[in-house]
Amino acid sequence: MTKGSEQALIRACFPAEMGAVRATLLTVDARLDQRGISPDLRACTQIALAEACNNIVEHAYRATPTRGGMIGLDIVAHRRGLQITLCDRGQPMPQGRLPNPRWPPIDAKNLPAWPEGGFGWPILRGIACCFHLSRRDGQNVLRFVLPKAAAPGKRQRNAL
Amino acid sequence: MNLTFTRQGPICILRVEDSRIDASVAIAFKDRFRELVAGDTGDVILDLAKVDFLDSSGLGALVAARKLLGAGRVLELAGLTPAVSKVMTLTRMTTVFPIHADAAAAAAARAGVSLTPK
Repeated sequence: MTKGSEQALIRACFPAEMGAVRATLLTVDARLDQRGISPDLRACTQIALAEACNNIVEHAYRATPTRGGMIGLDIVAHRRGLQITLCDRGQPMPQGRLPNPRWPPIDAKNLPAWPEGGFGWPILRGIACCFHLSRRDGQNVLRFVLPKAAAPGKRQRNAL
Repeated sequence: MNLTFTRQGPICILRVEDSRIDASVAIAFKDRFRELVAGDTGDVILDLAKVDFLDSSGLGALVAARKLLGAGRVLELAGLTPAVSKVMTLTRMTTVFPIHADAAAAAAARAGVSLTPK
């Protein structure tokens, strides 16, 4: 499935369940390390995959938690960075669109109101780019790119 | 979830012994934190030096831990590794959590503060 300068790095399929997500991420990190991927890009990959997979577990498969939902993962290296593709057979995204929520507001002086959630999509949007979502034959396919140059402080540019 | 508790003067130092605080252990982290701080009244330093990964669920657990202590006690973080620091910076949590290079620096800073009468 790869072409030109693209190189398939990882293909995996695992249960849509938190423990399996963790185990898969550890395997992915070891494999990317073997392939010479930089520590920074590996850290971004861990963060992005965790947020995207947790979203599938918690939302796409929310209505069918005991029916053995699976997540498919493909990671391909190309000149801009790593292209990630995640597939699931859970519920479609609301309105069929990618969420783009704002960062949860934090008021330092109002401790009880500090946000405990709502960070997942903003984090993912902050470190990845080139998002594409499709749904066909009952399957959600989410694709995004983790750029090689991703670094803290470039969040705003990547988020646009 | 493995957390160890050390008392240093008026301060509790909690060290996370696991390498990841993620969605699969976020609730266990919160529960263990609650158990360890419940019998105490001191400020808390959370040593994250062994944690090489934190996701948004783990971050939510840190915020929940902070709330458990209430406004009367302080929670400071120490020893952030690069991936943890990245998530804390992205989410701007660095603006509300005091952060130190390591637990020793955090304890020293607290000792300095305690010398100044309030």
